[in-house]
Amino acid sequence: MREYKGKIRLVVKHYPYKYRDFSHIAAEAAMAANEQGRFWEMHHLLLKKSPQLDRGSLIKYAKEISLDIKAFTESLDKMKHSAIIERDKNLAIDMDLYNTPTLFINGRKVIGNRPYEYLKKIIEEELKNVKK
Amino acid sequence: MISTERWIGDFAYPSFLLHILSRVIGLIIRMKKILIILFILFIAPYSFAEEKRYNVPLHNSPASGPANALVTIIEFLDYQ
Repeated sequence: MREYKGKIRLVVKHYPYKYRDFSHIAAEAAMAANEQGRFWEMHHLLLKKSPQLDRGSLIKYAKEISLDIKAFTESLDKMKHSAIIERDKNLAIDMDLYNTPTLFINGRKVIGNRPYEYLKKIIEEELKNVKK
Repeated sequence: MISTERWIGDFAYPSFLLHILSRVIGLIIRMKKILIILFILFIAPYSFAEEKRYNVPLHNSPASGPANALVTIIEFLDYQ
């Protein structure tokens, strides 16, 4: 992302797997941090700490990035962002997505974890296409 | 002995050579047709088809980078 600063926009959509214990609550944590304008810090932390994503750990991570813990915990416990997460999930199901991560690079579908060089090649192609 | 001579004689006969030549050319033409058919069936769809592009609604999902960026990456993820 840093390499293409100003040229790329990254949009995150949640697709928590229903049979995993902490998928949904982790997505809630990211959105609770988003409420406080700190989505990306929590996002990176969750990716780094996964699969340690139980409620206690999530609150610990919120403390690490100095969030308002009371508001964060309340948001988490009330599952305040459930509707948004479900909306994203239903979109993924409607689009027949079965794997995470799934990326859409200017609409081109890329399934699963790919090496950076692979993604870079597509990004370069897209940048060239747009400039034409 | 007689049959061998006859075989040599047949082989040397101009119409026999022409016949062999026409069969070889026919085979090459037919192979060319087969190659064209194979190309159309298996290779052309991949090389000529435009890769499908999906239109994913952005909604108000968390995003980073300029709204008018040249490339938009939408990631569906599961943290666990």
